[in-house]
Amino acid sequence: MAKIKDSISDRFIINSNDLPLGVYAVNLEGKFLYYNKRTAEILELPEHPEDFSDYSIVSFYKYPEDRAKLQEDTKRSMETGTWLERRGLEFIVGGKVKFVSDYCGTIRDPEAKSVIGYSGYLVDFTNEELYRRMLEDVPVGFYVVEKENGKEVIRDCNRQFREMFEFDKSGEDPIGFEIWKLHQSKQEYGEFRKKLESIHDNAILGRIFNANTRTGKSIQTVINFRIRKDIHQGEIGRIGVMRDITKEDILRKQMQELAMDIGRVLHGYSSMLLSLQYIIDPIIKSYAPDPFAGGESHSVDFVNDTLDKPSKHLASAIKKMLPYREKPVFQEILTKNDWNKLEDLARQLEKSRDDIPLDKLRPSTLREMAQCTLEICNRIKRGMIQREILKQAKLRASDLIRICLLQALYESKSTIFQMEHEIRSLRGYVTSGVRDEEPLTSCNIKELLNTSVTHLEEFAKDRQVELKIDIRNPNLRIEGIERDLIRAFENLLHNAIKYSWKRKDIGLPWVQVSQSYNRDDELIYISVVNWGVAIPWDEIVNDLIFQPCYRGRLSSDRGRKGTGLGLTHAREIIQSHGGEITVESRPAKYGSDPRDYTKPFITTFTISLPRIHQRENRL
Amino acid sequence: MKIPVLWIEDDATTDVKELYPSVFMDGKYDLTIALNVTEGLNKLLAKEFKAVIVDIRLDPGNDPQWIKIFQQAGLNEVKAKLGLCLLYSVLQPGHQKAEYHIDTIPDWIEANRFGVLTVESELREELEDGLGMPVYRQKVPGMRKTTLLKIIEEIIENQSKED
Repeated sequence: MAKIKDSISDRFIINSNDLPLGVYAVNLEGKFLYYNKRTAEILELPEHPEDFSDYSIVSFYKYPEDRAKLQEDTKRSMETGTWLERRGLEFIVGGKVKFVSDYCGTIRDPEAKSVIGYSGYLVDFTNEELYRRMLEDVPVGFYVVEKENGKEVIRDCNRQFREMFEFDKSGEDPIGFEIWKLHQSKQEYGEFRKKLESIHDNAILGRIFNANTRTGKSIQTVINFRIRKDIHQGEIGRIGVMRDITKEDILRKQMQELAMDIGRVLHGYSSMLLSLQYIIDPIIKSYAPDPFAGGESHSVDFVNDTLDKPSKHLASAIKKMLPYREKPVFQEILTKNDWNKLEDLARQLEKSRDDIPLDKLRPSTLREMAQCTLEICNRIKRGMIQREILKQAKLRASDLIRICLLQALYESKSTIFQMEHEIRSLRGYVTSGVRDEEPLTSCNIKELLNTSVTHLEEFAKDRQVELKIDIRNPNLRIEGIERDLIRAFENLLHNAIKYSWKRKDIGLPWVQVSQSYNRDDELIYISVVNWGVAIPWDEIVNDLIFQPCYRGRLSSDRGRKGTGLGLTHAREIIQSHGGEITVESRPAKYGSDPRDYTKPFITTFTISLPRIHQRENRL
Repeated sequence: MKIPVLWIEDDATTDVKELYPSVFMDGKYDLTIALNVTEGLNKLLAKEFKAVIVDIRLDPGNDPQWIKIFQQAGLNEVKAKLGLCLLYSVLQPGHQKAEYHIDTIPDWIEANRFGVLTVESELREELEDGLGMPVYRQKVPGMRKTTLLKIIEEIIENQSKED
């Protein structure tokens, strides 16, 4: 070890070497005379240098002004004989910034009694400073409250807290500020204190706090805080974080209003669709005779069979006109284009069943062809073609148009049924979060199921699906919100009807609704079973079908539309009533490939709900 | 002899079915319809068409590779844009959007034989500049019943000009 001046005793060196804080001595230029092990660690210096004076404390200062100030401070210390505390110095050590606190005093030459340097204590508070700076930048208000002379005052806070309460605008210092003044009133603060004293937990989480800023603005915050206690469990203060949710609260209210508005609009659309249903029936009647009155309008084969005759009749009627093309005055009857068109129409009408690639396109195509024929016929001047021939062509064209329009009306009626349910379902989903809380009632399971089935009878009839209902325990009851439970059952039932397939050989498809009761778990079970479109196994296993707006990859089968919310909403309702929904979808024929989704599947949705005396108040 | 045309459109029998009659009545075209991208690609590989009109938001059908691409897009037609993926796969198989691998692409398949009829409005530039497909129509409410016929005629006419 290098020789050290006598002013620093060996005893001092021995005692200070292992201290947990940095001890050092420097001359007036700032060169080290001595430093201990901890100083060596802080400043990353060799623990036992050849010559301490090879290193200078001044070289670590980040800011030149701190160096200049050192001289000034040293001079003041010499004059006053006091020790100086310099907090928050930034040192550059090994390329990194360290935050150091330095507490130092002068060293005098024992013989000359002149000041030869100074010694001090270094504390590395880098971690604490980094945390403090991080707290300044976090997007929540951090604060510490302590009791002082019987009052609760703010002892520390970060920038976000100061900004949240607008201390910067009011020019007030939050440190030492009485916390009750941030409450809406002294009375409200008193109530808050009373609640606090009655709580035994030390940590309070997620409490809403309505406050006033220093400029008088009202804000809403969420606070999480921990109560600080002394060794006698007396409260000495609290430390917490606060988040301003004023904007969120405004946004939430706006969203609620929007949801209510959407609900009103959807209600309007639903009412309009119901009215349309009533209007379409008399329109269909006015197009009598109705070949689809037997309820076969959904069968593509039946529709095409029905269209065969009138399209062939029209083709024949047109053909009877074509000989007039050979007459010398043919150009006075119709243009060359119109004659060519008639010829094409006759041929296309005869072969339409073979030539049109998809059966579902035939009605609209035949309608257009009949319309075109009628337009051409209307261009023929009176007397140019035998009256009866022209009349027949027009009648046949009108008849074909009528039948095609009837088919379109039935299709529209079916679409309206579906849309009406989708819109009601969507309205229920959108407004479920904003409706006034409804009281729980005791609901009879039989009545719930019968109501749901009744609501969907027209839809089932339109789809030519037979609804079967089997209720084993008609007297059982569930506690819940009747409207929501009916909605949940309707959503499952609607899906079952929608995704049913017609079976050519066996007859009408059916949807079975069954209810049973298990005494062991005291649960009521309701199952909805249908025969038709499969639900792929991966969509069940991965719970995809219950995700909001999810539409299964087979759900577009044959043009079936939907919102993807029905099952989501149904499950939410059932779960909120303490129940659960499960689903199984398997090939209708035993032994069939379970991954061949082109074949019919039997799909079963099962709802389980606790009967009334079992259920706790979970809502 | 009628001109063979392929229309790949999953709503061909529902939302846009009114576009079909004018093509049929025109009499010049033998229109084949594919209702999903599996069917569409199978038909493209099986036979030559003078014009192919493609929708962008398509159902995958039952081909496992298309289903996988659809699943990777979150089973979302809008995000998956399987029609666009099909176009890249047949016209620019090396492109990163050509997610479907095709062993042999028929020689007749060229950009000038393709047109797009879709709801999206923002793909026009990509299709024209990127894929060299100038024929593009957006589906809008109240569009003319002759829209499909016009697209077919435009594709055929463009080929005549190039010839």
